[in-house]
Amino acid sequence: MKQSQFNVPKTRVCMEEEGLINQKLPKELLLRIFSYLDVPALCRCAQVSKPWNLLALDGSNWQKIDLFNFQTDIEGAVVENIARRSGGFLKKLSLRGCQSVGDNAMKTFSEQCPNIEVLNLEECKQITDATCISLSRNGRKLQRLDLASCSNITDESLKALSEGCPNLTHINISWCDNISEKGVGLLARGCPKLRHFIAKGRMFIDNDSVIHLANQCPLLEVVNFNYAAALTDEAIQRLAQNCLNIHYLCISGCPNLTDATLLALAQYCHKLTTFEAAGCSQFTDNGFQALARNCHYLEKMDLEDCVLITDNTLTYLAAGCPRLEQLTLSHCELITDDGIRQLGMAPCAAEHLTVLELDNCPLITDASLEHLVSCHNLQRIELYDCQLITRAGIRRLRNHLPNISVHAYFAPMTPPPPVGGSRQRYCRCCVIL
Amino acid sequence: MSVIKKVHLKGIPFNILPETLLLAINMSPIGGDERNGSNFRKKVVIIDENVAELCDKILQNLSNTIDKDDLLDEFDIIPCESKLNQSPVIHDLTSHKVALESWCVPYLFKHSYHQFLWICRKSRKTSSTSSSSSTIQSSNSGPRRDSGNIASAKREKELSRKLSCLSESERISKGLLLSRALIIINPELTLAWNYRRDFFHPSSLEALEKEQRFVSLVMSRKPKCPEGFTYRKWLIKKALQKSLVEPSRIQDFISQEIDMIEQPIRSYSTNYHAWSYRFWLLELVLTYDKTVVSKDQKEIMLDRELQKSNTWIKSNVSDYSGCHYRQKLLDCMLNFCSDGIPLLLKELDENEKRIFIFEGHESLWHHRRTVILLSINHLKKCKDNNGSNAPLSSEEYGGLEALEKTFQDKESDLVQQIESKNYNDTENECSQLNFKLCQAHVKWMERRLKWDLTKSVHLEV
Repeated sequence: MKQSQFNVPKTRVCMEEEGLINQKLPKELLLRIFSYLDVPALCRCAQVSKPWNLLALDGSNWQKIDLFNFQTDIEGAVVENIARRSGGFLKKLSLRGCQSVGDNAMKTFSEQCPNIEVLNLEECKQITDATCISLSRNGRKLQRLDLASCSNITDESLKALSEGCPNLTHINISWCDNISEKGVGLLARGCPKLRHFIAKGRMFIDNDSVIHLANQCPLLEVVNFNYAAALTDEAIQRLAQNCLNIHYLCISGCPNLTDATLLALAQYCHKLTTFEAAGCSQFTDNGFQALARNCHYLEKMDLEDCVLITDNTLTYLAAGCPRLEQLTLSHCELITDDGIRQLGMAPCAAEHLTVLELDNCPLITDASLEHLVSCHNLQRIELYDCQLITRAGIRRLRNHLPNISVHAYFAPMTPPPPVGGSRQRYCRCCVIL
Repeated sequence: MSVIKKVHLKGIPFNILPETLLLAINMSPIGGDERNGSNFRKKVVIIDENVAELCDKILQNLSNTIDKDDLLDEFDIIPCESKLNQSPVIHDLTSHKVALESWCVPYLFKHSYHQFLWICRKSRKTSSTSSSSSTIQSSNSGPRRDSGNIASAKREKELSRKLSCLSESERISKGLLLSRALIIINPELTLAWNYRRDFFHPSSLEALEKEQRFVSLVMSRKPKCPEGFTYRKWLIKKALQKSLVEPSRIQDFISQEIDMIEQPIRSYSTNYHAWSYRFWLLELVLTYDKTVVSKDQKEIMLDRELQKSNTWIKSNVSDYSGCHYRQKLLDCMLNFCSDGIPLLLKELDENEKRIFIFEGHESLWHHRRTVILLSINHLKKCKDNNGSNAPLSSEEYGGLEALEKTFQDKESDLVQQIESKNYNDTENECSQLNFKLCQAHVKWMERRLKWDLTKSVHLEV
């Protein structure tokens, strides 16, 4: 029914020279309407008629493009076409996962679109230094660049970026195998406005590069050094001293760091909200005592595998961090019910605490779960491999917090038999009688 | 390169669970009270979000265990219920075994199967559109769903919400992980094997050997899985094709694989697929170019295999698959060495001994027949060559004609011995059977070879 209603005016429109809608609406309005459409819809509109084709492919509609949904279908020619069409309008482009895009296409792109601000090239494995060099030549406005998993990128790229893109604020060079600490130093020198620096998963980050970063980029806010195993206290101390605005710090997988790191952070970085330190096995209660006393804004903490911490850490956190939302204590084998009790009584517990991960804490018993009953916001609790936890304990917790999802290695409960399926035992007349 | 069969996804019903899983479900508390087959379908596990998380965790655990321990040599599913809050992946570090507790298997399988199907559909879609990708094609996203099935539609939606944020390479690695779990639980799933063929690209020999070890692990539970053997063949071909193995090491590489095959052979007697795969491997070496594998090396290998199969047959008389392998080996050996007659005579002698020790095993008699046929054919071939390169030892026996007579005499000797030993002894069942088999043998010789032994032997049928 709906379709037939729709079809009648449409056929009439087609018969006329120019569509009715084009007469009634000025081009500006049509453009405005098109600006709300997504990529497939725009492409479809472009096939309707010549005027629509012009309007739909107008550069103003193509300011932000995300091609993630097409990934491998995107080839160099597509990017070149887009660049030609949108020209100076294009500000944001995401080519995440588009593995067939190569240097040539990116070269044309950087020449055609000088106003690009945000560019995501994650997993474009074919691009090399040539792309970054042409970007640095043309894209002075570039602010955010994501080069994660581009394995052909080397120090040359970072050097070029540091020369040509002084406005860079965000950079992601995670999993780039061929970058060395030298490149990071060069980048830091050229881009003093850097606020986000993300370098996950590689060994190239060492003390020198971090000290360079700390000296040159005082505005750093988000720093991620996941698995930079060579880092020592000295680097983080310098970072803490120079970059007072840091609110996100990830130093997971840096086993050489000790309490000195925590003390430095506590002294300088009071704005810290997210702190990830999985696998930093030398951290002890003393460090966390200082941290909890000074960083009151902490919201997320990942302390997986910090094997030395005990219930005292939990006591300090409970007292000092009223905004705590997520706490990961996986593999912290010294944690007992007492620590959880402290956490359960803390001010953060009742309002903020939403996620608590306690997997592989062998000393935790059902008593812990009872201490957590007062955490009304708790949505998820992980209890994998806590062998003293029983089904009964989990059931009791569920009774108090019905919306919580509890993760443990118990076989899932058999769902209750469907109510509608069971027939009444007596017929209606018998019930009346 | 063999053509890889693509399995059509559309035809696979969602609720299909293999027999082993049905068993596992019956043992687990969900289906425990109701063993009725017809009611079973309604009781099949329900996957909600919590269960999905649990399954993901178990999946990760299993995969980590397999990745970490290179020496794993056995996998199995242990029937037990979930009592403790403990990972169902049991890993014995000292003896390198891994096991899965049965209660989690139905959940794990169903969960991984759904995700895997989604990923398969998605990857099939991208591979089909990538050829015509000059313009961006509208992706009216979401796989096709069966009309009217609201539950499955909802599940699809949930799945695509969860999985569509993965990038291409992430999706492939997830698919590989899932296919590995599916294969280890149910190796009969051809779809999963094919997925690995499409997306597992070994870049180095280590990666390939790791995959081989994984297939061996699968076979420790299902030693007779034909899919596994075809996959192994594919792996070997891939290694040679991509020249991952240095030419000088090819022989070692293949003999290493032959050694790995020993385990499924030993754990399941008359494992036909294993034996034929073994011969395929050997043939691969034998037909290799002379410059890569020298003739001496080939002969050494063949000799070693002959000895090995002899010891196998000695302890497994009724394994005809093993005998079959040996027959093929003998055939190869006849082509290879200059003088095969002593070899054949020796084989017949040993077979005769076994016929007397292990009475009433039909496979021994069948083996004997094939060996006789082999020898007759061999003699014929020598005759056709007009004696120019007749076997050396034929002189000892007085020419080819006399040789055939020797074989004939051998048979009549055997028949006579059996008759004299067993004719009156009707008590022993095995001897009786042996006697009957012997009669069949005589008949066969009459019909097939036109050898009339009744003159010398007084067998009464």
